[in-house]
Amino acid sequence: MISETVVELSRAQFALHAVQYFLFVPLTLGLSLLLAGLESWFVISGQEVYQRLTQFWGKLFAIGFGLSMASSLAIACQFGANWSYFSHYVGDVFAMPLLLGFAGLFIAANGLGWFLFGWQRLGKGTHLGVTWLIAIGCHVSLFGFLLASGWMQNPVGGELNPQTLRLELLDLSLVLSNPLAWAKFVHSLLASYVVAAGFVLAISAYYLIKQRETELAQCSYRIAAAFGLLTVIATMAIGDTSVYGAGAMQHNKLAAINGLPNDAALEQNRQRIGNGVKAYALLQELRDDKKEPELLAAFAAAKVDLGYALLLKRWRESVTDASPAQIEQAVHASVPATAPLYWGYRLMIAAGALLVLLFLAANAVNILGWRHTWLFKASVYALPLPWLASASGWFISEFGRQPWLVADMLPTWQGVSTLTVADVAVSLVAYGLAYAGLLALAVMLTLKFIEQGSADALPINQEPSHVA
Amino acid sequence: MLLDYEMLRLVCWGVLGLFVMGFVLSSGIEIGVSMLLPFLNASEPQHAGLVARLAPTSAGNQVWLLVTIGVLFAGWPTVYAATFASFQPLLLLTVLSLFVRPLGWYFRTSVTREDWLKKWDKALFISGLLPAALLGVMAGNLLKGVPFHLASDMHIAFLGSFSGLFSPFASLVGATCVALLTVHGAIYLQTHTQDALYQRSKALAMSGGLAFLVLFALAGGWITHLEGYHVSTDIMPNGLSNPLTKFVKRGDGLWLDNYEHEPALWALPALAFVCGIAALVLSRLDKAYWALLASAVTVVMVILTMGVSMFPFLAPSNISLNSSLTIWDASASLTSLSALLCLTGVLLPLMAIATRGLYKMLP
Repeated sequence: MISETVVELSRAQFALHAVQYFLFVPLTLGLSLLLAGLESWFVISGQEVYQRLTQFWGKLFAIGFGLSMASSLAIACQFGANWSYFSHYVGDVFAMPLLLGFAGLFIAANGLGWFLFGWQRLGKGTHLGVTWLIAIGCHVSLFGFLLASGWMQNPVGGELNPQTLRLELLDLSLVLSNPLAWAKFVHSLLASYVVAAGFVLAISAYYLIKQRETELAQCSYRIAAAFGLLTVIATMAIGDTSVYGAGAMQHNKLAAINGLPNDAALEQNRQRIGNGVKAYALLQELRDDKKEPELLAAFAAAKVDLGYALLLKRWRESVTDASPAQIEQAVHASVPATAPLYWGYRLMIAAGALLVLLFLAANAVNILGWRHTWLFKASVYALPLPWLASASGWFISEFGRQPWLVADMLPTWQGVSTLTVADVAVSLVAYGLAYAGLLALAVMLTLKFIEQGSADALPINQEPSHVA
Repeated sequence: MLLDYEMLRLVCWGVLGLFVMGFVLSSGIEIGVSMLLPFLNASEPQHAGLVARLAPTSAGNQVWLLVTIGVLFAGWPTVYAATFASFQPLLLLTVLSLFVRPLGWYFRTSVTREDWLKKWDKALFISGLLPAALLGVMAGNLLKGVPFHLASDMHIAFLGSFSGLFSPFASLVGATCVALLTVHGAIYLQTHTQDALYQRSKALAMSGGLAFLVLFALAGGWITHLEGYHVSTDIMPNGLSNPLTKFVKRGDGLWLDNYEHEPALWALPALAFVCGIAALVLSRLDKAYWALLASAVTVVMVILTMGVSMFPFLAPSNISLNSSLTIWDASASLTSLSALLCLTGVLLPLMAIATRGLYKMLP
C-alpha cells in the first residue's frame, strides 16, 4: 500500500518546483523576445540607446535564466526520484517532449554565453543572430515542456502494452500535434509575454518616478505598455478553454470552474470503474501468457477504462475484490474538488482584467501624455499581477487534473516512488530553503542592477587581461 | 526501418555514452577549476579573471547534464525511474550544489565586498566538489548493484538507505572521479595562465594526476574481486522490454567477463592509464595543450571502461538479481528509440560544435 503522506509530500514537492518554474520561465521567455526585438532595432536604426537597453535587460534576463535553469534541473530529476512508477509507466511517450524542452534550453543556455560575453568579440550581425537564437531556444523549451504537461491532460499517441505493462509510443506525430498541448502553449506563451511586459513596465515606471535613466526608462515604458496591452488582450481572448470538452476530464474541470453539479460525471465514472475492473481482470489473464483471440478482443474493448480500475488501488490492492463501499469511495474521489478551481479561475480572470486596465492606462501615459506619478506608482505596485494570473492559470490546469496524474490512465496515487516519509520530507524542506535562498539572491541582484542602471553594462569584467 | 530493435538499442546506448562524455568533458573543466579555486593562492583580480573565462560556458555545460538525463529517460525509462529514486538523496545534494552555478560565475563580481567574494568562492568550491564526488559515488553504486526490486506489476520497491550508498567501493569511485576532474581542471588552467599561477596549476595537476592513477589502479584491482553480474539465461536483444523474463547470477570478478570474451577491450582501461600518465608527462614538459587533449582522452576512456565492464547491464539490482535492468530488456519501445535516435542525431553534433565554439571564442 502507498502511504498517503508520501503522496501528499511528493505532490507538495512537485508543486514547489513548478511554482519556481512558473516564476522565472515566463519572465525569461518574454524578456528573450524583447531582447531580440531591441537588438534588432539597434542594428537596423543604429541608435546606441537600444544597445544599452539590450544590455541592461540582458543582465536581468541572466538572473531569471539562472533561476529557471535551477528549477528545470530539479524537475528533470524529480520525475525519476519521486514519481518513478509514472516514469516507468508513461516514460516511453512522455520523455520525448521533455527532451525537446531540454534541447531548446541548451540553445538558450549556450547562446547566453555568447550574448553576455561576446559584445566585443562578435560582429553586430552575429551577436544579433545569437540573441535571436536565445529567443528561439526559450520558445522551443517552453513548447517541449508544455507538450509534456499537455500530454498528461490529453494523453494521445500511446498504447498500453500488456507484456511490458506500460504505455508505448505508437505515433509521435499525434504527440507533437496534440491540440490541447498547442492550446496550452499558445496561452502560456502569450501569458509569458504579459509577465515580461509587466516586469519591464514596473522597473521603467520606478525609474520615471525617481527621474533616473529617463531615456532608457521612457523607451522601455513605451514598448512594454504597447506590447503588454496587445498580449494581455490576446491571452484573455484566446484562452485555452477552446479545446476543453474533448475529454471527460476536461469536461469535469470545466464544470468545477463554473461551479456546476457533476452528478452525471459521477455516474459515468461509476460505470467506467466497473468496466475498468473487467479490463484489469483480463489484463491479469493476458499476463499469464494466455493469447486467445477472444481474450485479446475483450481486453482491447475494455482497456480505455483500465485507468479507472487503478483509482481503486488507493483503497484496495487487489482491485477485482473491491467492495461496493470502496467503489463508491473511488467514484466520489474521481472528480476534482470544486471550490479551489472555482476561485482560482475567478482570481485569474480578475488579475487579467486589472492588467488590461493597467496597460490601457500605461498607453494613455504615452499617447495622451498623462504623466501622473500615481499612474507610474500603479505600474510598480502591479508587478505581482501578471505572475498571479499566470500562477492561478497553472494551478487550475494542474489541480483540475486531479485525481489523475495522466488523464484517465494513471491516478496520482499510483505514480509516486515508494520512498520513506523521511526521504521525501527532508528533500522537500531542503528544496524549499534552497529556492528561498535563490529567490532572495535574485531579488537582491535585481535591485542592485536597477540601482546601477545602464552605467555598468555587463555583469562581470569582460577582458581577463590581468590574469598573470 | 533502417535498424532492427537490437541495433537500435545498441546505437542508442552508444549515444547515451556520448552524452555522458559530452557532459563530463564540458562540465569537467568547470567543476575541476571550481574545486581548485581555494588552492591556487591567486589574487582577487586573478580569481575574477578565471571566473570571467568560465562564466560564459557554465549554463550550457549544465544543460549537457539535463539533456543526458533526458536521453536516459527517453531511452530507458525504467532505468531512469529505478536509479533516480534509489539515488534520491545523492541527487538532492548534487542538484542543490549545482544551483550555485551558473549564477555564481555570473554574479560573483557584481558585488565587490570581500565577505561576499569569500562566500561565493566557498559556494563555488562546494558546487564543484559535491557533484564530482557524488556522481562518482553513483557510478560506484551502479557497479556494485542498486537495492531495488521490481514487483510483477512493475512497481519498484526501494530498499536502500542513505548510508548504504557510501560503501567503501562506491566512495573509492567517488574519490577517483574527484581526482580525475581535478587533473582535467588543473591542466585547463595551465593552458590559460602564466607565471606563478601557471606553476601552481602545474603542481596541482601533478599531485591530482598521481592521486588519480593510484585510485584508478586501486578501483581496477578491486573490480577483479568485486561481485559482478551476468545474465545466465539466453539474452533476447530483439525481445520486448520486460526485465522480469531473465535470470541473473552474481559472482566475484564477473565484471571481467566481457574482457575475457573480447580481449581487445583491455585496450580501454589500458589507454585510460597510459593517457593519464601521458597527460602528466606533457604537463611537466609544459606542453599544456597536448596535456589537455591527453587528459580528455583519459576521461573518455574511463567512461568507456565503466560502460563496457557493465555491458549489457545499466542498473543491476543487488537484492533482487532478476530485477536487474539491461540495455536489452529495459529500453523504450522500437518507435520511441527510433525517434530518440533521430532527435539526438541532430542534437549531439549541434551541442558539441556550439560548446566547442563557445570555449574557443573566449580568449
